[in-house]
Amino acid sequence: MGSESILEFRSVSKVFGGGGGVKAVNDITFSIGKGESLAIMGPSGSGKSTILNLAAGLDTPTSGSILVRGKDISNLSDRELTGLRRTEIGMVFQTFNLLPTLTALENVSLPLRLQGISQKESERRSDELLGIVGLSERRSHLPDEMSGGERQRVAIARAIVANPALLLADEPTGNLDTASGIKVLETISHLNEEYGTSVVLVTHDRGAASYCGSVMTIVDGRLGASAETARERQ
Amino acid sequence: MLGGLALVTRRQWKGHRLRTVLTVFGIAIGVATYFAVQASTFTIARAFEKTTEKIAGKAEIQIFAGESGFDEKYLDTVRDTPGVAIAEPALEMVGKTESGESLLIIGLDTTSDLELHSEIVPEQLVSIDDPLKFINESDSIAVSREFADRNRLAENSVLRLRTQSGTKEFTVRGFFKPVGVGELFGGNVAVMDIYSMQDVFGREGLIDRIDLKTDDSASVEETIGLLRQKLPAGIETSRPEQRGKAMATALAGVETGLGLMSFLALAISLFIVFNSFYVSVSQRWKEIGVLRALGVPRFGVQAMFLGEAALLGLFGSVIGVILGYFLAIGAIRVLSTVSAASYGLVTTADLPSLDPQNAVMAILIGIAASVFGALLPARRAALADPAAALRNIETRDRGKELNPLRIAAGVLSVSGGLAFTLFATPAVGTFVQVGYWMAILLGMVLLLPVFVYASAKMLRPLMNRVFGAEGMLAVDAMARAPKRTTATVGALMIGLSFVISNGALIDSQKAALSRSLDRSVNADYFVTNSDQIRSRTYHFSEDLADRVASVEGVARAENLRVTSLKYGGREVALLAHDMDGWLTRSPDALDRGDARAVRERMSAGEGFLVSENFALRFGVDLGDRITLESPGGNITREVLGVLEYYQSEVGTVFLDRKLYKQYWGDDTLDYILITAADGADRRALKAGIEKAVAGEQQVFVYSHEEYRNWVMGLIDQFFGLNYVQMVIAIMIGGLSLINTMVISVSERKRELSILRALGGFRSQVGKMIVLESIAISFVGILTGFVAGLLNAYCTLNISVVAVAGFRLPFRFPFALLLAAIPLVVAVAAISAWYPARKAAALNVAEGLVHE
Repeated sequence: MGSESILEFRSVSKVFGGGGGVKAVNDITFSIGKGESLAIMGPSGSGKSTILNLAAGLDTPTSGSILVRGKDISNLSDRELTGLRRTEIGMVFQTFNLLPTLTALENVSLPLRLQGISQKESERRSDELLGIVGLSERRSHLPDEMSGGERQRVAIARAIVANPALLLADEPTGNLDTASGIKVLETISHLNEEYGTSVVLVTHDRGAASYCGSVMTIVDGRLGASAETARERQ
Repeated sequence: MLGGLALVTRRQWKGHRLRTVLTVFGIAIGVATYFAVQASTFTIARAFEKTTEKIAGKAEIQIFAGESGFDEKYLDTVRDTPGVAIAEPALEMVGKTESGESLLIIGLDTTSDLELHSEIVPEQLVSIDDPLKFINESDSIAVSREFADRNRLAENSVLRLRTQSGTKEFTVRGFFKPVGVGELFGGNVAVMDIYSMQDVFGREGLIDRIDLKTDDSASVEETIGLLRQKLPAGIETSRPEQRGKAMATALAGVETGLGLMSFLALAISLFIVFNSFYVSVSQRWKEIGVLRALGVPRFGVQAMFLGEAALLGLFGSVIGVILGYFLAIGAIRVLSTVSAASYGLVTTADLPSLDPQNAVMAILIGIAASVFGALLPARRAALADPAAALRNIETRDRGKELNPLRIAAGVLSVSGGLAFTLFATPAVGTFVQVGYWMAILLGMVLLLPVFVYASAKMLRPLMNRVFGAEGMLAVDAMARAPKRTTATVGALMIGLSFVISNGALIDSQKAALSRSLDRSVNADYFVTNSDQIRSRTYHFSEDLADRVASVEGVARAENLRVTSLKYGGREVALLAHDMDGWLTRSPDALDRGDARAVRERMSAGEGFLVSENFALRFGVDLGDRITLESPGGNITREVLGVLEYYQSEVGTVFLDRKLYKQYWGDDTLDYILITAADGADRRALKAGIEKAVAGEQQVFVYSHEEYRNWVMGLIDQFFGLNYVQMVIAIMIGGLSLINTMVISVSERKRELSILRALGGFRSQVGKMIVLESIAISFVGILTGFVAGLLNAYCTLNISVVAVAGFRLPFRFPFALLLAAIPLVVAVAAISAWYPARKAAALNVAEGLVHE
């Protein structure tokens, strides 16, 4: 694994508020290959989430280039970026970001429905994924009726329902107790290993980072130390 | 503290400019409608009063007997009455020039010193070269300078006028500068000697009016009392200003309708304010927590929101008064048209009169409505738990909207209002009956969350199937904020229910009229003197009627005089008909009484027929004896029949024309009803009638079908305001929708960003917003339909009966509803355009971390 580059940052910088503004990301370069997992660590305000937003095409770099599967996304139109998120990228957030009026099944199938896939087919695939994350019996429940860990696993299922090459997870265990957090990390790890989905995990928790193959540290928008984790060494 | 709170408020307005502007505009529209109605009715009333005042000149008392006039012998009776200092007679006619310009001709006793009428023709402003010739030659006429200049008339010019007595030629022998009444008609005033005028117009021995002034020995009221004793009951004696007021009361029914419209517009404004403040409180939850943590007491928070509402109310109301002024110009035109078409009352009102009291009242009502609308949200803010608010957690009870108590109150209110409508009598009065109607509306408002909830349940699978995930999410968004949605749906519901109930009223009225036209107004041709239902100024002569009757192909011509008289203190319509002809032609005309059986007695002048609404209003039944007051004395006759008839909303009395001529001394007529001979060439017949009356005066000849269309057209004209109401209602609904959708987008930044992050295109997000707006409008249409149905039932069963005494068959305005649905949906889609753009342009990365 690791031969095909899934995500590559080349000297990427991001400045908010014009020339004299805040440099949230400063000349960052890294890449991860197919099936690899990378944890980005750093204190609050270090620029971790900005890197994730740039990777997802939710934000554009001030300088440098970002390649997803070898394609430079820095100058893509909004429509092309949206298309990229539909097919190549899945996202998981700290606050789950499930739509409160939709059931677990509807939440998971939403990305497919937005792509115009029929309700029947979307729900069939979503059902499968809910089984994989261990929530088959919760398919008809609303987010309010589920625990934090369950919600996050629904969010993970939603993120990979379109079978993306890259999963971006922003502090996925930040709002969870330890046991639920471990279950979520195990689920992500399982997807990474079983299905070859590349994972970028933003966290400030060393324990969470240890589920990834490598760790990258960001301080004040700059790249700090990079290291292989115990998992990778194994 | 107040300064600090004011600062917070100012920043809020600055930060949410669109919401602030929409709220102000919402109030402005409500106040504009209210002010327009007040200003237009006030202006019309003032115009009537001003007209009568100017016509009266210096007179303290006026004596008159409707359009027929009365015997001039009563002039001596009046002059001999103690307390009367001066009494001067007057005649009035309207003529038309060849170019179609109307000219009011006033006949005055030019041999007198015209002390009372000096305001019409002030001595110093009159120029008559040969006064003796002016009096002696019966064709002499003095015209205003303006009229003379406009028509290029010089001394001794010939002026041809079409009058009810045919085309007449006059010689201009004097000029005057118009003041007083002359000003009212744009200077189109002429003066003749009253006796020449009687001669020329065939009204020998008749006068229209006596103007008089009292001496110092008696008060005006005492003199009126004495005159009433000496004159027959059909001749009325009153102060001039009372005449103006009486004229204005003819429009009471229309004004009630307008009053309701302004009330509804204010109610809708209230919903808009509620909506804005409800959302404002939601958005400022954290700010409320901070203020409370900084020591602002609960009442301070409440006062902040109510103060904001009062200020926005003030701004909105001031704008509303300005807008209302322009709206009033249109309303005055409609009222003037209605007044002229249906009552024959021509008003000279032009621009709205600005009564400061009305303006202040409108502003106060606007502020009150705004504060009232903000009351509940302000209370919610005041009761917020500061700790939870600091964490920006709303401590509201989501299930509260479906509170069983609220539902029970709603059901009770609707069913109570309906029960009262069904069982109560009109005798309770309009005010109480409006209460039933309001109970129904209030019940519907209480039930709105249930409607929204049920509609969302119903719409979700449908929208999901038709529009995919965007449709489903749109319905979810609508159902998730029931209060916000309810406020918008409420605004739409009230507006549409009013439109639908008015539409039902129009359709029902048309159906009733159509039935009446078939049963009792079923001549083959109608020859009329005016393009209005009733004209007080143009009438036909019998001579002309005879000529029409002799046209080839005419089997029978019936003459009809349409006038009015006072009965029970109200002005009722009086129809003097050739009864034999009418009841032969329309054997099924009567609802109660047999037309065949009473035809002979009616023709012999032995009885009256009355309309259903007359019978209902005055408690008269078949066989009762009623007394009519005429200039020739009282006439008491038996009621021989009752029929459905819609000439007047007060009531209509029918009598034989011979009896009318005998007591009113008036042989003019307004309609000639033609029955064509069997096999007559209809086209030739119509041409023959037109030829027989050509060049005489204005005449309109309609076939039965044309007449029906013409009457229906007048109904549409009468209810023209309904279409204005529809536009206003939908416009306010649209405004409310824009407000709601902007707020919805602002509240759901995060959710919309999630959609974008999950791969939703901008267009999909925009589509979702438009669909949400359409879904809300759909619920608005649905509830508006239900409320409109209930209101229509209420309107037809109580208001129409109370105001007009008409019992109308119920017709639901399906065509109007079908027209309203695409219109409302289109407005909803357009209203969502800006919010949708805003939603589509959201910064996704920022939205994902939005609280």
